[in-house]
Amino acid sequence: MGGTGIHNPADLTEVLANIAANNVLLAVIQATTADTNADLEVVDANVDAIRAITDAEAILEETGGELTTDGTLQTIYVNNAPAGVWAPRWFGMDFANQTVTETVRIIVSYREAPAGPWVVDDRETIVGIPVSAGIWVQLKENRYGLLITVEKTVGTNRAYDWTILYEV
Amino acid sequence: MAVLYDNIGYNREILLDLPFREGIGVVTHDVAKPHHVMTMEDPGGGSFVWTSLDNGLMVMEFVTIGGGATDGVHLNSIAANTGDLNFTSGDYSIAGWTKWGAGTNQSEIIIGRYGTNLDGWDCYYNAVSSSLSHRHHHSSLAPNFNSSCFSAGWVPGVWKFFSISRLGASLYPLHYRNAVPLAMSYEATGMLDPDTCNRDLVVGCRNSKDANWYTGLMWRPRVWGRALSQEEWSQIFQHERGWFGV
Repeated sequence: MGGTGIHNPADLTEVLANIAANNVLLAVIQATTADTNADLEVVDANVDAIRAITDAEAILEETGGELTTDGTLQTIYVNNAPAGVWAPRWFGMDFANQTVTETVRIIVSYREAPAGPWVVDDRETIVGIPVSAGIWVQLKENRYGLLITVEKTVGTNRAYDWTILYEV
Repeated sequence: MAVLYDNIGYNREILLDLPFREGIGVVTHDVAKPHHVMTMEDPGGGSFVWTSLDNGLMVMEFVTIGGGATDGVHLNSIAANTGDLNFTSGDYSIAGWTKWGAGTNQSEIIIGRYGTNLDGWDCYYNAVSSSLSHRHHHSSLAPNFNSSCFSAGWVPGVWKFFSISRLGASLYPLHYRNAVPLAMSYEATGMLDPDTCNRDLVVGCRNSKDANWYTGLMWRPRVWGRALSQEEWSQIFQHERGWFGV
């Protein structure tokens, strides 16, 4: 079939024109993608910034227990070296077990310098049966540490429930 | 504004949480709701060293001098105070950050509430195989006194976030390292339910408190009464990894 030198005379003009048009479209898409990538990098940076803030958001934590006095100065709670600025909120003790014969002191101290001495900030002395069994001490923000001690100075050793709330 | 501890999703049903915030002395407090009373026990040879990382985070070093009966230290909470950690057929999870050291003890107990081959649960690092093992003890199922599983690749000397999820309905607990699920090896029986246990909770030593001392650094061992998901482990890891540079 067919003689030598016979070719199919297809007209590719329109196909070539379409390819050229597609190349233009492709260039537009590539430019748009590049813009989108740039936008996403901005979004990523914003997400990182938001993440840094949310990670640093303080968590209100609590701990507590029961302390039985022994007549000495007893550490009931200490944060000796916080990682940074933190915000203790409240310290509370239940004096329901205390009788008229007991005297108990709560002493709150802070550090004002790294590894510095404990500086007494507040003393609360409860003599006998308090009007309200719950005694609460408001605490202050600090950076270098908090120490709460309890000392029974008069009377019988008794058990006291306590709790502390702080943001870390 | 502060985020409330118990409103954080992954803190739901958390039963034990020891962040070692005290930084001094011989008292450490559980900040989870049950407030387990923990005592820091030093039988003589080893010591606790409160250690502040360069970024200020306080962690605990368990210093062990050997494998003898008084050569290490551990945290303890008496059985009567830890009944909520008496896991049998139910779900539970264990996690914490460790930078353990391969000392003279082949097995270093991280945490457990158990009697060997009798009852309860425990997990430990193996210094020979650098693996994390997890055991259930069940004398009632004799002659199979315990069942266990392990994951590999727990190289000592590097901070890692270990976590274990046990779905009560499954015989196959899962281990995660830095929130990534690991290939597990199980016994043919899988992990059978531990027998009910009335023993002290120990962190850092064997239930008999005279061997298998944990060596190295630890931060925030935690226990939940439910099985945490991989997504939750990832949330914790992402939240805390910055402290440890991982």
